Amino acid sequence: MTTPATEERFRTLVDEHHGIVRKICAAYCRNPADREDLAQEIALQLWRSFGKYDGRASFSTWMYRVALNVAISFYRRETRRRRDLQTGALDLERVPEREADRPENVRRLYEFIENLSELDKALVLLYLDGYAYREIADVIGISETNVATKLGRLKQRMKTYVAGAATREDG
Amino acid sequence: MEPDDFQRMWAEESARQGSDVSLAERLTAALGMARARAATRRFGLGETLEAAFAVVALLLVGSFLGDHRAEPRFAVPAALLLLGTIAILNVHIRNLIDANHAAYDEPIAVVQKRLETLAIRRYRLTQWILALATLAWTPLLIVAAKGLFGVDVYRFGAAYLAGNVALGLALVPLVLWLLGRIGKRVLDTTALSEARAMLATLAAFERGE
Repeated sequence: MTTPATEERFRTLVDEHHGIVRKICAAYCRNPADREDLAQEIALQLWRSFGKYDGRASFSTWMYRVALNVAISFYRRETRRRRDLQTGALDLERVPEREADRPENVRRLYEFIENLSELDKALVLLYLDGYAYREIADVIGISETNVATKLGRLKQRMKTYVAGAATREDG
Repeated sequence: MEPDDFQRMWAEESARQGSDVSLAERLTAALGMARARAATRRFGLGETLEAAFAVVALLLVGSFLGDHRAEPRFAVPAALLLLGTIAILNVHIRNLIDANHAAYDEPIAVVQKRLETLAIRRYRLTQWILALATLAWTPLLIVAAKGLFGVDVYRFGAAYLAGNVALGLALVPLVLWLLGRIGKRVLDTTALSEARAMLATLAAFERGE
């Protein structure tokens, strides 16, 4: 049974951490309508799971875990649906105006993230948000050593990609 | 630019975007939306209906078997149908349990593996039902004719029954061929291979490859 106090607590926590959802939506969907659908689906799953949140992990870590799981499932489902309907791919749609004025390096960083697999996207988002390897390992469900190895490779690729993109654009 | 500079850049961008209150509003508004409530209700509805259908079939066939337990000519085909129905119901129940335990607050590798396994199980069940439906035709005919209309199909002679069995067997290759031809549309075999590929990716990801 949900009490108004629980709902209020949930709303407050989600309000405080809504940036997590925004970043995940931006990484997994490009167009505003998809992001809105994904944000709504994340909100729904957060609410469904909130009763089991025991406070052992920080709310933001817990929220990341739920939101990334929903985003990966959403991304896979939508990609398949669009392929079946033979409509435009997720990445061929309009970029929100708000993002047009992003600094160059940030835009390249988003481009890099966009081209990663669903699982690598999750790793990079958590790393960029400053989570410790232990926390990333808990969210993803792999060992800390594994996280370190993967992030080592991804950071190198990130550096090469952003530098390469800058050189291409300058040239 | 060093990798750690990306974290700083990301934090600056997050702060710049921090004023996006509309998203927070949409998030919390979603809680009260009819669509969200409907989505909760829809969760597992299809699976529940199929399971309910299997339970009804189980009761009907079970009742028929009970009534004709002393007559092997009816009891054997009914028992075969009963076994098939139990197998189908078992898969539906497992799917329902897994679907209801699809807690998104577990680690990504665990949740995604569970979801893909569930998808594969659903596809396999459909494949098996379609492939074996032709073989079930004769026992179904015997049980349905007797149970619904009181007609004893054995009266039509052994040749009639043998013909039905032969027809069922002959249709197996045809069904398998049709599954291969139209499987992509009917069973979404692409989705099946994608689910398998995702499981392989998850396994490799966990191994650190």
